[in-house]
Amino acid sequence: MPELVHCSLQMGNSSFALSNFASALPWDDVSIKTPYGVMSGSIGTTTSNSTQFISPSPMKAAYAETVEVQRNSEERLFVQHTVINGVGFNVAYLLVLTSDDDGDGTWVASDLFSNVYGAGESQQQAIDDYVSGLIEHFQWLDSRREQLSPGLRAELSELSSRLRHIATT
Amino acid sequence: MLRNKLEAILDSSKDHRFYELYAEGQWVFRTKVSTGGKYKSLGDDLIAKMAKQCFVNNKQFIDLVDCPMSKAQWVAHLKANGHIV
Repeated sequence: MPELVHCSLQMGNSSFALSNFASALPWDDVSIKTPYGVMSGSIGTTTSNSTQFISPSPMKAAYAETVEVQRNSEERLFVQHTVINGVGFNVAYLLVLTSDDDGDGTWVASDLFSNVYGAGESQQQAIDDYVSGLIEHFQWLDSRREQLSPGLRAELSELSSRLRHIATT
Repeated sequence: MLRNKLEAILDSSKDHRFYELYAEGQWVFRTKVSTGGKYKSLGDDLIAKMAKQCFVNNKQFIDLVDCPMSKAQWVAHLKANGHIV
């Protein structure tokens, strides 16, 4: 049974994505296998100019791909990165975690900056639920910004820095 | 618990079901209720997320549900931790 799947999404160039990705990992010297190639060495210093880490698809609102991080023959992490696209918002530097910690078959997707979560019977369902919930929650908060408690106001502030509405034509 | 004890309002007008609480002149929390068929009993994962949305830890959330923690105690906790003023 592999360790829980953690889903690391970064939008932006691959080097930036990797350096942020590396800071979330418990190991320094690993091999990273993505759908587009393999990177080895110290991920803190690895450059990924020759490897595309993220391959957004315009066809889906969100999707996840598994990235395998391996330190030795026995220690592996299965990491996922998620791309959110085409939902009217651009989400910057999002780190999504998907997990089924209690093993009850319900996947939960969440992030590190809001209280939003999504749930589903698969990782993809959880991520889809999370994405729609994230945007709905942001819009709810934004429409009530003058009446929010400090806790919700802080959440709105954080979401505002990460969600940018894409003008519709 | 959310509706009867905390007097939260159920908003199911959109894709998701949220319980929302407006108290003391401000929106205090908003927590989503997952409605999938497998979620009739909350797993630890979902409890943790709902607890976070209510600004309490898992144990406090369970205390809220099971009744050792009253609404007044929960509000006092939120005030003590700066979540409401």
